[in-house]
Amino acid sequence: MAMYYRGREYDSEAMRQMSLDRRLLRVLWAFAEPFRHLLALALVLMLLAAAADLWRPYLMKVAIDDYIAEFNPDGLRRVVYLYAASLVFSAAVSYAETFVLQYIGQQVIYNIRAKVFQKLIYRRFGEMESQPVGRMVTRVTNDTDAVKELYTDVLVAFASDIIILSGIVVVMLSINWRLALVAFTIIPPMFLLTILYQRFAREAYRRVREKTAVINTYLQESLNGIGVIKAFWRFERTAGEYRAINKEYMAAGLREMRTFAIFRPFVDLLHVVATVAVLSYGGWEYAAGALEVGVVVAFLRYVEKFFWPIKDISEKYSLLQSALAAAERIYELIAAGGGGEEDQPPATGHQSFRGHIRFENVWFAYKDEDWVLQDVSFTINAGEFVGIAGPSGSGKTTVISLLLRFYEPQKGAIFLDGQNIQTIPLSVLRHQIGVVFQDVHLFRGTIRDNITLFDQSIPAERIMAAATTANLDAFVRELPQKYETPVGYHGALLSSGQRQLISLARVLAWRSSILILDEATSSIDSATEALIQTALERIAKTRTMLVVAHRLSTIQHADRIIVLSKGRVAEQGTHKELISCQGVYQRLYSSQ
Amino acid sequence: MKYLYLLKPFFRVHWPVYAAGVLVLICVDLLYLIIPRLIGKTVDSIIQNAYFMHYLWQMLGVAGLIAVLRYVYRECIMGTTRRLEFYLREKLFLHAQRISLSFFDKQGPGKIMALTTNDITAVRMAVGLGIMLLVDAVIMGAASMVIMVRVISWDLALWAISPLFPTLLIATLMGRLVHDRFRNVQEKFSALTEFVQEAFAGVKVIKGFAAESIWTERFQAISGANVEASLAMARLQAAYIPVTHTLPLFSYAITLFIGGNLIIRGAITVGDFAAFIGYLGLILWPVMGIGYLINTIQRGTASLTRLGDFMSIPIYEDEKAAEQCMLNGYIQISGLTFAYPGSETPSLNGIDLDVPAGVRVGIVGRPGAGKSTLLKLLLRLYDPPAGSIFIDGREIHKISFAALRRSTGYVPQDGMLFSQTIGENIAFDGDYSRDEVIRAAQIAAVNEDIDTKAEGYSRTLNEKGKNLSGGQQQRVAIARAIIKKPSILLLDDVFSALDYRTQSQVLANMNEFLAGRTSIIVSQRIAAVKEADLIIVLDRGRVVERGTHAELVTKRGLYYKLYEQQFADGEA
Repeated sequence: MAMYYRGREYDSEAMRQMSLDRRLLRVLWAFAEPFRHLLALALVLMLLAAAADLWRPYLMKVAIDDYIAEFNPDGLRRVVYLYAASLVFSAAVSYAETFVLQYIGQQVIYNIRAKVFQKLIYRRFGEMESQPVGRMVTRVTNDTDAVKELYTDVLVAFASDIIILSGIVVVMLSINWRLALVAFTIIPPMFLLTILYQRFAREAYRRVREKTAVINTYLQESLNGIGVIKAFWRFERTAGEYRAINKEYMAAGLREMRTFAIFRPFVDLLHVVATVAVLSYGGWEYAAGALEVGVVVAFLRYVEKFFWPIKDISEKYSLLQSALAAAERIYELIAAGGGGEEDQPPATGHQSFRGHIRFENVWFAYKDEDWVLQDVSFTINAGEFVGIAGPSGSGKTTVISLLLRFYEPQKGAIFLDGQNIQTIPLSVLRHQIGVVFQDVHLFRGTIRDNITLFDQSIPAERIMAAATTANLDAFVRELPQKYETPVGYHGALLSSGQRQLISLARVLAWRSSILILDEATSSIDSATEALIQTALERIAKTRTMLVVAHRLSTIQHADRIIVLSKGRVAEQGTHKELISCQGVYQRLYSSQ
Repeated sequence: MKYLYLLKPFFRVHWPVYAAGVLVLICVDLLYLIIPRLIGKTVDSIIQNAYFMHYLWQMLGVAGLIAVLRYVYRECIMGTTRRLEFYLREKLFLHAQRISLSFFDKQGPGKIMALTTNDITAVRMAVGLGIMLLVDAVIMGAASMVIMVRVISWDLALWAISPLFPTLLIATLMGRLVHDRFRNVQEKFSALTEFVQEAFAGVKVIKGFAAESIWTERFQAISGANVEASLAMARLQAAYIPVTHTLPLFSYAITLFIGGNLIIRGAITVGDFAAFIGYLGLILWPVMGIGYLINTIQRGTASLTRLGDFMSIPIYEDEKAAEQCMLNGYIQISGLTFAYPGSETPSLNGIDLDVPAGVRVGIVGRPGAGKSTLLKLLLRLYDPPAGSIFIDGREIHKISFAALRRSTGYVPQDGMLFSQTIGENIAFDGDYSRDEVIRAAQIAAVNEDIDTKAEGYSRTLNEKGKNLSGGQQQRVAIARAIIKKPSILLLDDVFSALDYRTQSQVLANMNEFLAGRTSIIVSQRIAAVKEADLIIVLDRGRVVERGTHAELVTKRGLYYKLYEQQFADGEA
């Protein structure tokens, strides 16, 4: 269980380009845009808090110089009150600021998640089939979570830091431009350091994201198949595989930790270097009589204040890198135009089809020239009951996948009521066709949820009617919770025959004009099946029914049987006709 | 924290490095106190026109040393926490593997995914960042407190730091709330993961029914609940800032008032006062950190509780050194009654069955009759009641899981392949030679299907083997069981996706293989079971008929009905 998700490494050279970052930021900003007023508010609040912080030392100075030195206790009390008031003000402002930022962050993440989920769920089926589930889950959950900090901790804080920083720069320059320039000599190395850090950090964070996906993928798959792992007593091997992945994750994590562990101390070191530079130059100028010592001392405090936003930025720079690494993965998805199924032209009213199906010289391969269907042509009339037979791997299920437009044929075309299905909006097409898939899938929820597929608008009578036709109702009625019985994960609390009956009921409740059963009764005994068969035939009078089955009794009474062999239509006809012609069908039949 | 014991075994091994990191961190904090002193001396020297460069060199030296040590403690502390993360992940997975199957029947893997990624990270943060904040707070706080008391007066110091007590008190009290709310956030995240995992796993149905919009709506609701929980947390977090960052600043207001009056009364000098204010700054800063510390720790413990709750689910396959011997395959079942955990109605009811080694048994019956359940109990995937199943005369609980399952080849209903190569899927449970793999594939009649594809056995499958046809999946799963050369073979409705020609080919190939092995074949197809030495018909958990094909046909019961159905249609 450890092969194909290792596939792509996400570190192509193109990814490193700055232009990508700019595009990334543009996309990320687009999500924040609707909240720009709130963001502005947060920025104002942040600056107000900063102003209050700066005001307090001034109050202190006033208290000392104007009142304490003048022995004025009343004045002192007034200043103390002011001081306390400013604290209350700060408290309120910082509460509001934090909450506003968190609020924005959460809303933005909600929107990004919705977008990512939608992008994924509307992806072409073929693309999704080949994607590990765990990787897609990581995109929606962990990756979006990592972007959140961009909005809560980085965006506004950066803006505020830069404003404060430029304010301090101006003040420093105005006090003594020579000393200021000396202090600013650390800016170029700071830049260099940051660029270097970005290089390594992004790569490290990218790896962490990638490995998170790998871990999720492995967990998802192996725990999904835990029954087999247990039955084969394969605990050690599985643990070994997981361990290898876990190690890779740890290596990525250590790498991330190290890039920051090297970068961060340098920032503090530069602070001391700046202090030393100011002291030595200041000391030299003082000795030359060009400067008062008070200016040097004051400058030291400004250097301190100058570094405060710088330290904050560098602290948050790692958050930014982490968020951008995650954003890259989301960006790939969101910005990748086309390919999604939601791009289809919207449904024009509720078209109703009679259910006439025509395959015209259809060629299809999942990969390259590995033809699964070759030049397949057949017609199914509206209201007809048609069986599809053929050896396993002959392309029966593929025919259904093409009809649902899970895949598009490479050559040829498929028509529904004379209309090329490529021109029918997917939601319309798929509403017309109800399928019981060979690999039955139930969702966690109740029996009712699984029949309605969580569509609350389906009335109870329709559910019960469908369940009765599927021969499910009697069984459900015996359950203590009836239709509200939970089915468990993937329907694990039911037997596979019962699961098939539920998926059958699901299709029947769906009321499509075409009914497709792909080995829908394979896990059901033939006596139960016969009951279902009779009920279905009654319904089938009004609908087109396409039934794939190996148990030929299932399709014996079909109006017509299409026999596939090695991806071609080998023969067609009624049961009787086919038996008499000594072909593939006859051989299948006689081997029963 | 009752679950701290989860971390114990790790720290028993890794504490030296971690402790070294903490020591280095303390050193850095102490070294940091030197720099302001050096600055002071430099300024003094400048004023006195004395030589001051050596102070600057010292300062650079100390700063360089600090930079190196900072790296060292991060490597020690953060490195250790990364290893802790690795350790917890592994421990969690090993546990998840061996808890009862019933857990997964209800939950699926989503919750474990959330625990592995999100919760373990929160624990790591608490152990790493938490300890750094704690050390900073204690060392810096204590050092400046000492200086303050020594240099100025202890009663002013006490007054000055008085706002710190309510700060700590409120922060601690709020900690409980943080714990609960963060736990809620993590739970909502877990729910989101579970939902998304299931949606993508069942995408075929969602798409086939064009139900994307319904799922998007459901997703929005769960995602919204997640936002709701996070905002409740955010409100709390926003309240933290005033408590931990603003409330302590009242120290300044108090100092200003009391100190100012002291100056006015002439008790202290302005210089003393200025110095005092300076030191106050040193003590306040770490206190502000404490708020963050409590926050981080509470998040960590909330996640640790979730982890601990999961780790407290008892392990089912609890077995260390196990016997390795192969069983012969003599199966006796007597009075077996079994209900799934949480279910009131028994799935199997008073089953008696005697299967001598080497015998082939067929089982037929309606959906929900208990056919699969019986096979799963023979594997002890679920726990049968004591004294109801015996293999080789030994009560099944007396046989090690390893021996039981290594002796048994099992083909589940839904093939359940993995995203490995076909070869690896067949050689699933051990190391087998290429010949063995091919031989198994031949018996399962899937060899040709594999060989006709370009990559052959090295072809990598998708998750669940979805890029094979249903029939091919089933046959690869059969090969996976055959390669073990088990003494007992359990086939659970494994021909359902096969055409009859292929089925009879598989059965014919297996005839030789099955000789001398006990086999139980569940099938809906009379053709697959009619050769069996014994056929039993299950209905609602009871054996309603038993005998050979010929006997059952003459009995004219349920079996005959199924037979007739298929016979009339020409199947049998």
